[in-house]
Amino acid sequence: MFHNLICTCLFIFSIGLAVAQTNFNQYQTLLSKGSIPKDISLSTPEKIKIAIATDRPELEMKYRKSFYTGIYYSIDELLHSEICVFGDEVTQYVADVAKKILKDDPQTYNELRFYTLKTNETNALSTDQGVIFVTTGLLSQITSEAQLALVLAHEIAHYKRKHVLERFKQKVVMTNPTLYQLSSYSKEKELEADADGLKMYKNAGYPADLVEPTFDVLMYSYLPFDEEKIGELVFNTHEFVVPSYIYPKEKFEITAEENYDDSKSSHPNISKRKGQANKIIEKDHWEGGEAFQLGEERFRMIQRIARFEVVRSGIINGDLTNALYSLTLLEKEEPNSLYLHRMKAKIWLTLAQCKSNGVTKPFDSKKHKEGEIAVLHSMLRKFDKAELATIALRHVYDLQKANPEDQEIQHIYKLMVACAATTKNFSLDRYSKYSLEEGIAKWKKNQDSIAALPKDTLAAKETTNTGSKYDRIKKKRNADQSIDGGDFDSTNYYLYGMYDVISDHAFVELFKDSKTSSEPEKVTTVQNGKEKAPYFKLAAKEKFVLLEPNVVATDVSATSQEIVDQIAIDFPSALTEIGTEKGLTIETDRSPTTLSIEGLNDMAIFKTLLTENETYERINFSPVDFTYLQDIKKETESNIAVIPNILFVDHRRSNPMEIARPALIFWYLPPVALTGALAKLATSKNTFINFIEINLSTGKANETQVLHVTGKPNKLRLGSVFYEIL
Amino acid sequence: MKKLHSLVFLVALCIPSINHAQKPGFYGKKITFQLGIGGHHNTILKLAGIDERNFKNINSPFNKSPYIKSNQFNYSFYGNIGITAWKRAALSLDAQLYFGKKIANIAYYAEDQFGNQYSFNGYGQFSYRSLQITPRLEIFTAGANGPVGLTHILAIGVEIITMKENDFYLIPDNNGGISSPQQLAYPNINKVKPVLIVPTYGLEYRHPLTKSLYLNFGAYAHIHIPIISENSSLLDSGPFFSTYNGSPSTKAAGSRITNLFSARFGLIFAL
Repeated sequence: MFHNLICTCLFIFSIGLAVAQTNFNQYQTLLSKGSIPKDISLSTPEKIKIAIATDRPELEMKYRKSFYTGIYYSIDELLHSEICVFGDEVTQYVADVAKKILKDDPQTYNELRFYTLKTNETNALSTDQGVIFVTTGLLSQITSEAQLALVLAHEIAHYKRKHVLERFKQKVVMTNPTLYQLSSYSKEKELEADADGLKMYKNAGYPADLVEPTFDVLMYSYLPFDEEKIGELVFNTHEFVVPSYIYPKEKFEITAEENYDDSKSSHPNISKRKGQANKIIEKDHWEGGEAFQLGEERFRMIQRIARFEVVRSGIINGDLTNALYSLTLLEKEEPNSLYLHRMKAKIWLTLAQCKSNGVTKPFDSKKHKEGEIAVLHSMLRKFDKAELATIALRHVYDLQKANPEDQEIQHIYKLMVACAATTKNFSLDRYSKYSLEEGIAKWKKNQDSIAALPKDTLAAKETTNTGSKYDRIKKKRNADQSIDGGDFDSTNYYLYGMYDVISDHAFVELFKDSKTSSEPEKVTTVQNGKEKAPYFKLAAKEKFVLLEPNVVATDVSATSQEIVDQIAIDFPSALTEIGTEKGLTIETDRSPTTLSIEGLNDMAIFKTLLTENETYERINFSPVDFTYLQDIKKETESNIAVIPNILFVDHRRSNPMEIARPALIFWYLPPVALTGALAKLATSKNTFINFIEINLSTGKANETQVLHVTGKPNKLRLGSVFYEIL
Repeated sequence: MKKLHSLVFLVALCIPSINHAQKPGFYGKKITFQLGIGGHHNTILKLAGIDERNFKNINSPFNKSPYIKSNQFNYSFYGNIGITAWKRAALSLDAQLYFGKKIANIAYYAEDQFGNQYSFNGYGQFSYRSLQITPRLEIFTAGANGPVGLTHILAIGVEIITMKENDFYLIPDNNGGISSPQQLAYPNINKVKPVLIVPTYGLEYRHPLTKSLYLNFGAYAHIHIPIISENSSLLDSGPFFSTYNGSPSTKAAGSRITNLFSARFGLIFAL
């Protein structure tokens, strides 16, 4: 009893600690914690080898090899991606819910491992090996612990029924099938998993009335996690208003149907799934149940974390409308969150920059066609460059005023001003001294006073026109260029409500500086008429942070994987040795030869940054993990981080015909055939190396030229490459 | 000699340009010295080597003599000095000492101690050496970090054949007069030393052992084109020889034509 009491106290304490630990004001993205599981520490070939030796003896060896090769490479692609985390509070929560479901089956629970994927896709996956992935997209959409329990129970049912292996057997002609291919079960299997899952769900003590709403979550998962009219919340500020006539008149109906045609879908339609579930519930005479067995507060915290991640993922992947919509919903509950202020500033900056530079991804017409988010998306698409730049500037200006000490927001503000300064038709002279309301009132008053004048006086004014043609031209040009100098134009509503900004001396100075200074050109060399990024060149004594090399082989043989593992060790060692000889200072603490949590988290952050660079290639974006990068910069006293990218190709495995070709062509001349084949063998191992240089201040990444090395890439050969380029 | 001077001058001209090259050389080491051995295959021997074929066919217990060996494979020693002048190319000067043998159908005339002249026909094996000097252009393939890696060799060499005067074995074709192969002297055998031009294409693979030491594996295709040789048989006072279809040195030059392929293994030292 005493033991139970201690456990209970510790449990409550840990929950309290978990709640207390998530600071939504200074939110930090989910990162992996704790000890590194074998799923991550073991290499893919090692896992395949162990699995082939120990698992599924009933399967023929060649099929076993094919099955595990396909499965493990797919799983590892997810496990080693930047979106996968473990040991964090969300993953722990998912594991705790699974424990509830499997309270009568601890053996199965002990076989399972849980991971969270930071993606806006609403999904959960289970594998034959007992790995269960749950996405933050799913967690942001569900409204109770019970719904999560039902989804998890479904996935656990797939695992227990070995549906992945059965799918493989059906598709036995597939070589190296991917996880997604093997996870697309037949509809019968899906219904089977629904039925089994429902049983586990019920046994765990969850209520029947939350089963149908779970299917609704899946049906409407393509929409944001809430459906609210938020237009004014998004655009309007204290000074600035987007008038109602700017909003679209069309209705963006939500068209999702339960009973859609599922003949081409992997899953049965929602109607069938609900139908089966309701039958089972009726048959079992299900009563009672508790929706939040781990506590509602804990669930709300996890849900909020997932929703914060939705904003982050949206920015990373260019879905800025979803990011802005979701952020506005969250702001209602967390109006003072510094994290949300930063994200908001980023979103507005990126929207304005994308519009100004012709980057179309955030304004994709195929996305967001239904619901309230469609209203927002439609407006963002239709704004012209100056209009969007103005709205963005308004918001970012307000945010930097509200957070004068925050380095990140100040940085974003400078970028925003620079964006405005270079946006077409954006001119400070155009802006009004008045708010929109005042502007309309003023114009109306002017119109009324004109109407009150006698016609003769008006006509006389019009005809009294002294001076030469040139006087008239000068008069016209010197007249007030701002909107206040002319008639009210409803389409130029955005020129009102900006007076405090355009009359801020500091802003004006910054604006003028931004207009006159030019962006430094990317350093490239021209070779054969084509521009190429230069080789990795840093001045002597310049310090840079060397990150873990990204080493990949094109084939999955054990020999190639051994070479890959050895490259991962030799590469940093050779680079450091030659770099030091050349007078460079290389920080290698963040490129550990042994796996560590810090190393994994670092790589996740940098991989995310590379995704952002790909999404926002043509603009000066502000990275989502700006603060993390600044911390690295401060800690290492370096402004540059370098990720080596290495691709190893062994033609003997990937392209054996290439080796045999000389012998086949010159078979009648044996010495030539033999020489050709030997030369091809000698150069069958090819290594392609390039570097990604990341500026820690701006987050911008540049790729260098690709270097090609033939022969076994040992330390000696790699060192010669570095000697050449450093 | 004049040609050699010109070549050295040309190489020396390149040296200033090396300093401006984009870091050529393996770990910046541009100068290489190489020593090694080669194996040569007389590929079309059976087609072109009438004398060799006939020798094999004669009814003599001595045509399988250990003194007279098959001429299909021969060996050589070589050395070269090279300079990696550019990122993708190098120049080198190669010297090769080749050891060859040639079977020829000859007529032998001699006098005995009493002043009586006698003669017979037979097959003789001549031994010879040749010295080949070859300036070479080495072009590194993509992915090679010259001089290490796979390299194309383009060269035109000059070869001079020197017959060995005292290394001649004779087997009479009717076994008359001489009972077993004899080693005989052939004075004036080098009256005219054949000179050949040797255009060559090769592939060499250099495998690095350390920053300064590499192994070299090469395979080559070449044609030996005689440009200077004896035109007619010579008749000297005895003992003397006459070969049908040309003098021994001419025969040796001809036999070089059959050597179309060769291979090498060497050790490279880099500075």
